[in-house]
Amino acid sequence: MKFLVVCGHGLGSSFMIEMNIEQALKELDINESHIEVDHSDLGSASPDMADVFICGKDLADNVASFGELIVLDNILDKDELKTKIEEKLKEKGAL
Amino acid sequence: MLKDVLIEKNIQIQDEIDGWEAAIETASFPLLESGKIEQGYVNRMIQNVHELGPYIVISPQIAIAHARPDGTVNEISLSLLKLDTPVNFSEGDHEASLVFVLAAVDNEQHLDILRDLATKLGDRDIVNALLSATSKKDIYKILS
Repeated sequence: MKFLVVCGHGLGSSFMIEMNIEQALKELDINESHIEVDHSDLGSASPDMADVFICGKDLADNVASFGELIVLDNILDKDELKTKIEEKLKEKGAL
Repeated sequence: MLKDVLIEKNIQIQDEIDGWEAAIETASFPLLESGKIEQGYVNRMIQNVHELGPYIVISPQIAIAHARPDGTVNEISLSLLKLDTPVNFSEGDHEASLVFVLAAVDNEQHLDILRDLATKLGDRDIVNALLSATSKKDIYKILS
């Protein structure tokens, strides 16, 4: 399964979220080899690039057409991220 | 490292400011003055918010202004404007008291700095300490 974090330029916030996802996966005791995480800018991202897309709420409208989406209210909130990742993984039968 | 780029002279404290555009301009000033970035970079950071909305407000009270590297950045750099009265980046609730300006030269080299910054800003105690700091020196110490 692949997660792609999308932000305006693929430079800043998407990378911060990617870091936090990697930490969340560790805390959830998920084998990282099963889940790939990457980040991208809005302009280069496309629906075929991942199974689940993650972005902040301000870009949700732009990313919604790509596919399954996790929207974060607060990009730096690790607890929110962990809860939403856990829900998504359960939904996909990966947890 | 964060402490090598967010040096004391790149940190400014101001009571209030007239709008988010002025906040980005003021926060950029030390980087312009020291030749780290060109005026074109400042213009594009502002343009990006007009185009994509207030997404640079990444967390309550924290904005990280940035734009794609395109030759208007001469050196990786970071500055911070701390406002005692937050500025709003949209009609909605996108208030920020800590306005960072991040200048990257490519897609990779700034990631260590960002990793450091994200770790610090992910800690609510550190953010609260920054919000109540009253001197550049204190802010520098909190972030280094």
